[in-house]
Amino acid sequence: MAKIDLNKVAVEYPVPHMQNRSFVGAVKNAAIGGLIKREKVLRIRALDGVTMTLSDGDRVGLLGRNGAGKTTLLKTMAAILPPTEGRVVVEGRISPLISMMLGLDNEASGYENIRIRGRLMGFAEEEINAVMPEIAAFTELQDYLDLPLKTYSSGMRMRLTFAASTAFKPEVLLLDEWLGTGDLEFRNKAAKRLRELIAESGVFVFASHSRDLHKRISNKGAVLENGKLLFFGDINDAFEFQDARRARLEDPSPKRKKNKRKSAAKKEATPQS
Amino acid sequence: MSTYRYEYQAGLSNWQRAYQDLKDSWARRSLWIDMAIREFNHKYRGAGFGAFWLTLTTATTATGLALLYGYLFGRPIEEHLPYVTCAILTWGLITGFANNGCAVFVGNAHAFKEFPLPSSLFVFRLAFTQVISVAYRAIVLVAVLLLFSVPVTLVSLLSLVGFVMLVWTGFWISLALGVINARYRDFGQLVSAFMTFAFFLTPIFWLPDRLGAYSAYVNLNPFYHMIQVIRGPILGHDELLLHFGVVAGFAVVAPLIGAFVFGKLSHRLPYWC
Repeated sequence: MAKIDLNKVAVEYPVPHMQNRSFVGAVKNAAIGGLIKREKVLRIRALDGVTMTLSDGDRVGLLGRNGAGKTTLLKTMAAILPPTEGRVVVEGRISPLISMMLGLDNEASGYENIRIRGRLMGFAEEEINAVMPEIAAFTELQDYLDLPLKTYSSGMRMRLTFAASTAFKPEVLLLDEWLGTGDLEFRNKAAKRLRELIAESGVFVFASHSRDLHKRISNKGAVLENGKLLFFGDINDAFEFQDARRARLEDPSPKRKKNKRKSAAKKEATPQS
Repeated sequence: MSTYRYEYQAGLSNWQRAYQDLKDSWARRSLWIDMAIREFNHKYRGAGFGAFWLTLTTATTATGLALLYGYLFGRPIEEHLPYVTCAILTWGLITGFANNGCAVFVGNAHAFKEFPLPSSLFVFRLAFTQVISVAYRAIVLVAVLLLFSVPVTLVSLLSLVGFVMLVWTGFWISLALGVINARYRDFGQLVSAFMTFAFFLTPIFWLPDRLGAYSAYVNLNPFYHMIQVIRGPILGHDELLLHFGVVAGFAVVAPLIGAFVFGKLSHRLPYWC
């Protein structure tokens, strides 16, 4: 059984260069501590009090503009980013379909690179051996799989990394933007494989700007804005919420009225789990 | 019930997560052993002698220092060359851990910030890389010992024990240095400057008794004992017990320092790097 449980999760990034990054400087400060007021560190609150529970069968679409916190949320779920506040519990094997090119070795053969990818994703040698023929067949690269990766075209590389990354069945699948790879024929084949992978996963979380994709894949929607979870519920309701909110914010009515509506929006925003 | 579970509660201490991180890295040793070998091959690919450049560099450095300082100190080459070679080999291991240890997290941030990998994995990889490079450079030592027919006894094998203790200590110190350098970026510069200074202050190419009345102070230099646990058993030394005692002390203290710094601060690594 797969499950993701987020409780009041917040992530604050310190803004680089606004922080004292010098060891010599820190020693100096400690030596004359108190004399000079400590400089204030500027922080970006990328996630702010996000509470949500996802369980088996949930196909969640993350909605929100650039910088709303979609990727940061995926990273906290993927165990990459330990949040600065709150609690994260993920049950089930996590597979983030991100950084698919990570760790690839240009000098190594296609087969070896499939192995590298499998190891990176935390699979045992026997598990990799078991899926190797299937991956090899899916890439359609045939004899090229014996040649070093540096001889591949970028399209061939994508075929290899896509096939290897999607070969293992995870319980929790995280996807940041749809993977469109290769030529039209392969793209269709890849889309089919990805849909199968999603269908077999327990929990699927997917960040995308495409409503079209969300309508086809997601059954729940989470609306993020400035790191806050404004709405979590049925995907179509999430779209409606987004549309209503956009219309409200663009509404050129008098300021007083607008404020009133804004507070109403906030009430509506209490996340449901 | 799934066996895979990730739980993180912000604000509570990071110890549990750090422990899990180290445990996961150890469980995934086939990954970092493979990464270390690949990294090693990449570094020396295309070079005429491949990784034997390391051997060659060690040979020239040791010969140069031994010839010059052997002449200055009036010591025959058959005594001074084995003496310097042992020390150069050990010093390379020490500085390897110190300098690469500082860069271990900053240099690999692209991987653990984008993909769920335990961050200590890169420290394991670093330690293994050091072992490989010592293996290449040890060829020089073996050649020198054969050339001057230095007798190899059972006591000489103690230097292997010394080597294991140094790698063990180096691993834990790198863990701490890496975290500190991720926070304070000039820390690595400081360490590297200090190591250059320490090179001349440590009896690598000179003998402690040349200091005359001050020769006892050499025992206050921790690097001296580190070198002597390798050099002492091979070339013979009366104070072996002292050297091994001091280095064993480091081998006990280093894990405490490493575990403390890593356990206390490793959750900040994705934010600092």
